[in-house]
Amino acid sequence: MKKILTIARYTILDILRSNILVGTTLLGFGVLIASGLVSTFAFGNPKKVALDLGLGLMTLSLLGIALFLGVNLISKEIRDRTIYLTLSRGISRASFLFGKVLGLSFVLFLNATILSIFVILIYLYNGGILNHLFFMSVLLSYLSSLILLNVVLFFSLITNINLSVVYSIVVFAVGSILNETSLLNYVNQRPFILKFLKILGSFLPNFSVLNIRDFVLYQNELPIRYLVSSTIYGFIYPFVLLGISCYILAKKDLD
Amino acid sequence: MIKLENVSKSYEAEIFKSKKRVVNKISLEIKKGSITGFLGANGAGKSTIIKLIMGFISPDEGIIHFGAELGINKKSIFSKIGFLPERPFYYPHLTGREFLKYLGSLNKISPSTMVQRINDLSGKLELSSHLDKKVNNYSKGMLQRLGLIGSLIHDPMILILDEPLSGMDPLGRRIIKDMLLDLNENNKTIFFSSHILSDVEEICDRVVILDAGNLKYQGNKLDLFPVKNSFIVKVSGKLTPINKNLVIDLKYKAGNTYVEVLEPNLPEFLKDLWSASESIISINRKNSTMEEVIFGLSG
Repeated sequence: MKKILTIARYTILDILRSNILVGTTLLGFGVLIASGLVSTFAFGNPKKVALDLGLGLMTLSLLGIALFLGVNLISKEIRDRTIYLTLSRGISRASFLFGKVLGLSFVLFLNATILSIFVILIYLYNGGILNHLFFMSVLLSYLSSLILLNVVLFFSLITNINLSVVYSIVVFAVGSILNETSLLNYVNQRPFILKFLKILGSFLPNFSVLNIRDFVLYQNELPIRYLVSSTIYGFIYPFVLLGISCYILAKKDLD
Repeated sequence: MIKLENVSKSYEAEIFKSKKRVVNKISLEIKKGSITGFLGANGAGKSTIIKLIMGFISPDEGIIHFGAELGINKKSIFSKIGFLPERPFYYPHLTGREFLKYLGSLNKISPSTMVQRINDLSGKLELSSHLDKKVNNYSKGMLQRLGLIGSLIHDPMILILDEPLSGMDPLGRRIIKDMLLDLNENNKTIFFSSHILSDVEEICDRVVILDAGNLKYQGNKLDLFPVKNSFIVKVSGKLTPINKNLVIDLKYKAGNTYVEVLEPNLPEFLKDLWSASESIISINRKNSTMEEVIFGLSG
């Protein structure tokens, strides 16, 4: 465990030194300015616009970081032969992978925290009142980014970087619209398509259950059972995928 | 200490084409206390064999044995091996010192010992003044020296280095070669790959030679050099030999003539020179260079 934490610690240090948090903070200021500008045109409901924009940009930022840092997390280590230096010390490949993912997950967490502080400031400034759904929305966005991180990591172990990014975006897109597509009349009238979508939904990540932004904006409430099950899903899915990635990395020739 | 038995490895070069065998039934041994030079042209399979030893890739066939002195499980074996890959890139945003601390903390070293080793080794390798710079500001030679410190920080029994001297300036090469000799004197076993013959010739006591995935030679360096039974006679001025049958080779260079003569023919050749009143500058036995030997082995 100590070695996993050491790998995670130095992963965090290396990523943070690459000025990613400076980018995040700048994005936060961008959200502030954009919300201010857009709110002036949103007659009657500036706080909702600010919240929508803030949460949307935060999710986008988390997904972007997960995608583009995740794809290089192990593949760059293999390409640059840096992985050899760690593994040559008797560290198991699974420990190495856990450490790297833990490190990047922490960076995503920091990113989510900084951006959500900006969103809260904008929302409160516009007269909004925070409730538990806002924090749940941030948590579920963070879990979405963890899922995407593990999806792109999985693909990066079996294919090249470019294809990994493309496949991950496709998985994200499909996983985000699976629920809504299943509700369409056209689909419901065709059992074959419905069955196909159910099969897809059984192994592809379901990002739509983690997106509760509309509820935060318009309904202000969601059953606690839904929130708990979504959170559990958001934790379990990346773990399962990480387990599969560990197996692949253990069997992989590191050339 | 480490023994490979009939180890083979193939790669799929292209889809729908048969695999290409890059290492072919190699059996070799890294002997305790030796400095072994692992020679071969680019693409001969040196790095593949090193990756096989380090467990980064698996052999298609064959076995790799680790001596009992290294331990009985993977963890203890690899904690006694120091490894430096070929042209590695390190975490660019860490400083050299942070990077070494990272590597040190992956092994069980107390913080005080780690600091002491970092200071000692960086002093010996003349890197102390650069340790607090970010790694992305390091030159190639500095990166190699940093990697070497990293491979030594846990005080391993054996060092496996992949092309540690490639692309380095003469001073950097000298520093690393001296370090390797010093480590060997302190009972470290060293196995390093190179395609620079003079380096291997200079510091190794054992040599392993690989050619297109096949083992061409392994053994003592001195056994590689058979004593040639010919002499080089240096004569002042341009010489036209009286009896050309006595001469193997003749070169005129910088005002002198260099004549290679077989040992049995030497007395008669010298008699001819004296009778022609030629001025003999020197007579030396001709030694083979490692380059000649390897070209001979590789056909």
